[in-house]
Amino acid sequence: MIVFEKVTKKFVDTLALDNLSWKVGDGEIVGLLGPNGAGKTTAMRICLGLIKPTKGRVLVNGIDVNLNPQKVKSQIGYLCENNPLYPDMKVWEYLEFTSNAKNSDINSQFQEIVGQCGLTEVINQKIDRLSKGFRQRVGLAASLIGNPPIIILDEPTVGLDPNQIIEIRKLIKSMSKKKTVILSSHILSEIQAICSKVLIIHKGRVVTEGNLKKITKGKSLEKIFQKLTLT
Amino acid sequence: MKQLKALISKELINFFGQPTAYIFAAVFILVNNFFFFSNFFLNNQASLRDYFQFFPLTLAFFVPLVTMGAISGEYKSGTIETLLSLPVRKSQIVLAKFAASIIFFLFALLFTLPVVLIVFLLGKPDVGPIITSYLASIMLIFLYTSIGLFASSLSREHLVSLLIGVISLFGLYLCGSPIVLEKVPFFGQVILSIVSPTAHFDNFAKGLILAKDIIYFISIGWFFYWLTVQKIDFEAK
Repeated sequence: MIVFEKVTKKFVDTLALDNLSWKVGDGEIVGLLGPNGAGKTTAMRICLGLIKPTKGRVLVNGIDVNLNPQKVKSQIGYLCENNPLYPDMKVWEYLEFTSNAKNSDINSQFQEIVGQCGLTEVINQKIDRLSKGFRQRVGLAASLIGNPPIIILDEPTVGLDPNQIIEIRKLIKSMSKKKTVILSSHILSEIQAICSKVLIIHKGRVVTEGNLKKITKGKSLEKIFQKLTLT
Repeated sequence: MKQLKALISKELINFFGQPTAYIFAAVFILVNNFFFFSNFFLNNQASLRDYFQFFPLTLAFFVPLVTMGAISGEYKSGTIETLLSLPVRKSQIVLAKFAASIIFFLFALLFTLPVVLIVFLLGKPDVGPIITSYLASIMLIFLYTSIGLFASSLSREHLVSLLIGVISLFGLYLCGSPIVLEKVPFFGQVILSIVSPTAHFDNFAKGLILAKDIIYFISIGWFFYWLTVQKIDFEAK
């Protein structure tokens, strides 16, 4: 379970998050929505301990991120926006590095993750020679290493072609059966296709949250999103 | 330990996966050999003291060349976020970069061994000062790497990091050079000799292993390592 308790984040004179309180239960797949600059990435970074909140705290499975960031990070697999990777490494080298850095045993999971992410054919290739779609899969595979109970994905399908988007969505859906997933995206149809719950934030504040079907009530998510964030 | 090993091997793959690393190592050796052999036969002495005396100057350029992208590159490419999202400490990340840079220069130092062999073939140099000079070189690399890494953490641009590193190290080197020392009063000379690595390096090169010199290299090296960790921590605020 992830709990945001009255989290505020200020960057010099910009208020990125304003008293954000939010709960994500075990096994949920939650879409994090908001216009550019709404505070989505900031919320995810705080959850991972990459940046510290100005006020409030985040608890991941009962652990305060600020007090024990290492333990929290070992429970979260993260795919960050633009998915930066090390271009000089081969795919297997990168996955092995991630596994060792996570202090996990690569052998027990390697074949399963490589197969699940469709990386078998490129496993010996250098990352800088991979297509954007394969790079995204490498990032996803790295986030799955160590079998973390929580997966945070920041814009996982950005820049991919329609076929790649469908494949990545399938992959996310398959992993959501066993894990808690937070998915940030600008593509509303993607959120509707994958997530059961949503949180919409605007100017650092929660504008709505809850079950996707209850929020939309048969209407399009696009219209609701516009109504809530065009102010 | 497993995590630190993983971080070091990642750094080494990045170092040795690029041709620039080999070019830097080759140019470093060529420059030192050029300086040394241009006077070696005129001096007519089977001694390596002149060979090592150029290291504080040449390394002041080559260490920042190697370390310039170590941290700034992670920020520029965004991989720092991937790295910091792993359950590793910031101190481990910097330590791995530190260790990889030192391993790289140890690799470069291996190519100085043919020079040692040549001098042994031509005469009978003292073995003691050669061993302590290698020790001094490692200490110097340790110190310069820590400053180079800190310089790399100050900017997201490689070139800016390089300039900060080179200017700092060259300034540190100049503090102990006769050109500067001759122009300052006695008290200033004492202070500058303590601050600059030159005098500490020279003691090693003479075959003297003094505690004050070891403390100098380790304490200043550790201080800049700590500053680099603090800088990364500060970025997270």
